[in-house]
Amino acid sequence: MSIRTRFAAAWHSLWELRPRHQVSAWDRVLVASLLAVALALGLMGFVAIFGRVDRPGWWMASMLPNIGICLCIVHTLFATLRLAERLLPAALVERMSDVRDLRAGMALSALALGGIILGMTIGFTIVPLLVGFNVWGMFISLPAALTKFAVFLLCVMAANWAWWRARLRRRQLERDAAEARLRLLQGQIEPHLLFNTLANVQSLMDYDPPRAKHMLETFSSYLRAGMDQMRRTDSTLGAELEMARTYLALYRIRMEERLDYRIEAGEDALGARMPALMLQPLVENAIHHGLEPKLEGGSVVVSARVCDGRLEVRVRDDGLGLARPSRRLRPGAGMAVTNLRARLQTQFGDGASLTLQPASPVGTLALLDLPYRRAADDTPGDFA
Amino acid sequence: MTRAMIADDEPHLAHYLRDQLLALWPELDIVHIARNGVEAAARIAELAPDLAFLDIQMPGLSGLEVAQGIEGPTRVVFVTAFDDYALAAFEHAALDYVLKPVAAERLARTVDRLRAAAPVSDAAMAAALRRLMAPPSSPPARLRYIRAGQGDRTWNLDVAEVRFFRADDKYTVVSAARGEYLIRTPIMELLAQLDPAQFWQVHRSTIVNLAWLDGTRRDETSRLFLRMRGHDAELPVSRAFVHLFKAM
Repeated sequence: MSIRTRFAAAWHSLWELRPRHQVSAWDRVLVASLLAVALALGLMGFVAIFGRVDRPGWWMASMLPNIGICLCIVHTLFATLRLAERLLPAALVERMSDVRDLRAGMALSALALGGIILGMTIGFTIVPLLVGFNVWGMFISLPAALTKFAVFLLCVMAANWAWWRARLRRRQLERDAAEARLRLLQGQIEPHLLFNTLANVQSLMDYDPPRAKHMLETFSSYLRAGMDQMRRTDSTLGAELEMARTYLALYRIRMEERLDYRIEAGEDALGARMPALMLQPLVENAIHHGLEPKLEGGSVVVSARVCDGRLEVRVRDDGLGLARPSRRLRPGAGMAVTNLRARLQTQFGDGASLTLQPASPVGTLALLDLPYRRAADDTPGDFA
Repeated sequence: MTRAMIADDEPHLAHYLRDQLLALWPELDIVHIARNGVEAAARIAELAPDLAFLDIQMPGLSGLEVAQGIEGPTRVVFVTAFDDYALAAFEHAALDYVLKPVAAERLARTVDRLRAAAPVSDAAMAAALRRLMAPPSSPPARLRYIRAGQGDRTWNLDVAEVRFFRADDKYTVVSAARGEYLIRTPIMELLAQLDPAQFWQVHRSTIVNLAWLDGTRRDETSRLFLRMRGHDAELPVSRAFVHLFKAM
């Protein structure tokens, strides 16, 4: 990693509220210190141009105290942010970091303001001890300086707020575009499934009309659930499970006794918010790579639970497992997991993960780990 | 009379195809309907039908894998619902195929072609199968040595010492000058890493080293077998690879 990208990463990480950061703490301290020095020199330049500097030795005399105070302010500010992301509840941190609403924005500003004032207090207390120069007394004794400083602080905060909003909006747009593209890929009804189902219905109409009817009904439920999910960006686990259920029911008709499936989820998990079409590719993988190619078939268990503010979704099959080289009948097969991980990254950053591991004694376990958020009550899970 | 076999994991689809075929081709004798790839491979070897209608996505072995393992004169017709990638390869190599759901007119055209008995060349078939079944990664570096286990020891084998590789359930058996070893690398993965001028795939489960080839033999049903130096048993060559030896 080049110095430039390292510094850029550290710079971005300073401003982001996240429970975990991937950038080294030293990089961040270094970048913050550089920021403090730049800020001190900038402020002094501002004073030199617009203020009245009457003493000739002013520049030299105030450089060190200024830098010292700015170092205190900047480090206290970032220490406050780091402390907040560790101590505050995860859901609140997430809301604040996204500045989703005015209240979250205000809370973030208040936090930053508190950090700056605390930093100033510390700086004004420590720096005089080092340079023997009573900054506090001088600052307090000049009401005009106080007012000017307050106005300056407000301007900085307003600019900061506007910049933060604009950055978030742009990011949201980029994120939406990426998500839409990936969801389109993931949401396609597989032509193979479509034609195979039609072929099944075609032949069953002659030999077993009730089963043909049942298959058509199941297929329409699956299509309806799938179309529903495709139109939504934000869905619920309940709706995702409903789609998985119709899909598995369809395969059950085709594979007969070769396929068993079970879906287990508690009330709280069913109402959890999750991105649409995240579960379906995992269930499709379990069928295509695990059970369909296996002679004796097997079972799929989809289960979900809420635990410590996280939503855990598991898709377990006792099929051929990860070790077997997958049949590649279509190029791009096997992209599902890569796509899902990309979607998780754009939506949750490091706050979510997808892991695939061998299940014991045989098969594959896919584990999706997301932050738990309850869906608004007007969109309850459709799954009963 | 033409004898045919159908393989599909969904029995009613196989029965439907059988009825449609018989309606268009009453003299056709459907000798067996297999429910998976393993059964299909065994029955083709046993019954040697003239035609085999193979579903591509089957449990056990895929239709492509079954086709690659055929040793006798059986002509393969692939059956598939939708595999745009496979279909493109079939069209390109002029392989016979049937689409599900079965459309009577289309099936009639396939039947006409089959009755006209203009089989696809073995080489075209082999090339298409090879393309469809190639491992996903781009060609890796050429393999020079193989680490193989034998009891509690491992050996470092130069590929030049290897007589042939044969897939055996979960393992690959390496037959070398000094004995037999087991490795875990699948045949298809090995094939991609070996020098194609020296190592030839001759069967779904076999890769031979040409340097160790002693000669060939053709039996009364015109199946081809290879004799390898220092090895008693003969190795069968499947239909899809017979063309390699015709050119020699």
